[in-house]
Amino acid sequence: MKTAEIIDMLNAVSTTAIDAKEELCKLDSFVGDGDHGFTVERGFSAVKALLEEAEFASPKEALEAAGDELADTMGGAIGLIIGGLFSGGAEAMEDKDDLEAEDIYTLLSAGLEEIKLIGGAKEGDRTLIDALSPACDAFKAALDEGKAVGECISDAADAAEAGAKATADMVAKKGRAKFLQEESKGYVDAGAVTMSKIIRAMSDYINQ
Amino acid sequence: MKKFLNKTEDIMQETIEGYVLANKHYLSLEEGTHNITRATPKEQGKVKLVIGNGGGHEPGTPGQIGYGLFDLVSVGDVFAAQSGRKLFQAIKEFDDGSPIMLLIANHAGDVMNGNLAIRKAKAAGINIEGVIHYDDIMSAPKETPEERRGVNGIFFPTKVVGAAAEEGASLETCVKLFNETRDRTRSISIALGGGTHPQTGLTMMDLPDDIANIGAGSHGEGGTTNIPFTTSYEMVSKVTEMLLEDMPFEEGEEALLLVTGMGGTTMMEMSIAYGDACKYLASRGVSVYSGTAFDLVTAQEACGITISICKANDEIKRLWDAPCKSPIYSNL
Repeated sequence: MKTAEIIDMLNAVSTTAIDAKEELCKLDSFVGDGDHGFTVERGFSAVKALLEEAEFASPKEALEAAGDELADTMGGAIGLIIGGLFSGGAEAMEDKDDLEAEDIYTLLSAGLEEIKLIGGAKEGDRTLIDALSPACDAFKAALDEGKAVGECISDAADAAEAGAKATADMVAKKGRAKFLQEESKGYVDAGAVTMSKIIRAMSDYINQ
Repeated sequence: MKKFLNKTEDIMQETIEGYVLANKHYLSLEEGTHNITRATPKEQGKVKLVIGNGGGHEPGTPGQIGYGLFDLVSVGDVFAAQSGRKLFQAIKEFDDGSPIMLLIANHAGDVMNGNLAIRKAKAAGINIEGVIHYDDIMSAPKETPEERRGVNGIFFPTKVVGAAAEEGASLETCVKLFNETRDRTRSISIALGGGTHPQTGLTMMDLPDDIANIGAGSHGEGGTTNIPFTTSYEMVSKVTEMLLEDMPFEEGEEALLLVTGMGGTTMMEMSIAYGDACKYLASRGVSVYSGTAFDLVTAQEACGITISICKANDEIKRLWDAPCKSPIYSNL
């Protein structure tokens, strides 16, 4: 994938995230303050504006800039964390003109490490890590089987959706939801749903 | 939703600009940013108190900028902590070589972004130290106080350190004083009803008319215990008893007391609750040295109060009494 395609993909991801505004607000309202969709909209609208205005020399540069823009405009823990997927992932990537399946895996897996480092959460804490981590595993498994990038990211998106769904059975250990303890059970984590939508949008773009 | 709002995406910028215009005697705003400073800066060389946190809680920390209190507040968006990079930018532009103390209230977003700002500031050669406040007894057990949420009791260490900084105390002394005062501070909230989120138009917490919630967070994200509401005195004594259980007082020890409103509770109610807290504390042998009641960290028209107490010592009393002047609290 070349820079122009990465920019198109980031635009597609942004559109998906912005369109999910109301659903995300609703999910957040069960355990949070109900504005997650607004925060996501604010961040990804800013990314779209940035992609329109700025020029990027490489895929890595575009991804890093998008991550920083998300952190800056969303604010809160969620901005650093969702931004961390792109900026942390891109930081670990080689600066080349054309990304391959391995590079997309680096984006996801190094992004996951960055998010763990920033937020201190791990698998099972009922955060978006529970969507991203199985997605990384599924991508890696597909990659090891020699599948093409389209199949790898599609498997990752399936795993992310299953992971997000599974957060409904988990007790929150991080974020504002942790103060609810057992009360957070039964509702899927809004951040995990956002993460699964991001990965699905990447998959839809790559497989179109 | 019927509120004095224009465009949703402009809420925070308009709030900040309007608040600074309405308090121009105290506040100054760097145009186009969310960075509010004192209209009359503190002398160079003295410790500067800085905080970055979410907006939508007016008066919040912007109301505490002024002599003897904060020097710089960098506000995020509605209910979202300021981004670490923007906070760092604000600090960098504000930096004049004076030591800087960054206060962080213990909320996930504030801590992550605050730590990021500190890392970047230190790497840029800025003389900065961070302190973390936690005091909400309902959010974690007393064995792990550092897990507790940082809420309105932060006004005590802020006031104490703000006064010490005006006197010329070193950064090291300020950090020590902050931690000591924080460790003697406890808070608990009683919510009666949620506010309307200014962006979503949704109510942030639904409570039946006869029910009070003990321990809700500042965004009304649901708390831990619902109890029937009876009278101010009964509600206030119940939660104040929990504070004393968490932090027992020895005979003769005095308290500083804060009763802070969530936005939809009137000064009449806050005054009654303040008197009730004094009365209950007296019945337990604790006299209130000083304190105040006001709206602090609001969540729109949310109804309820937070009660915070600080176990005072001579140094804390002296610094509490030292002069301060800000939009929401002055004792000159």
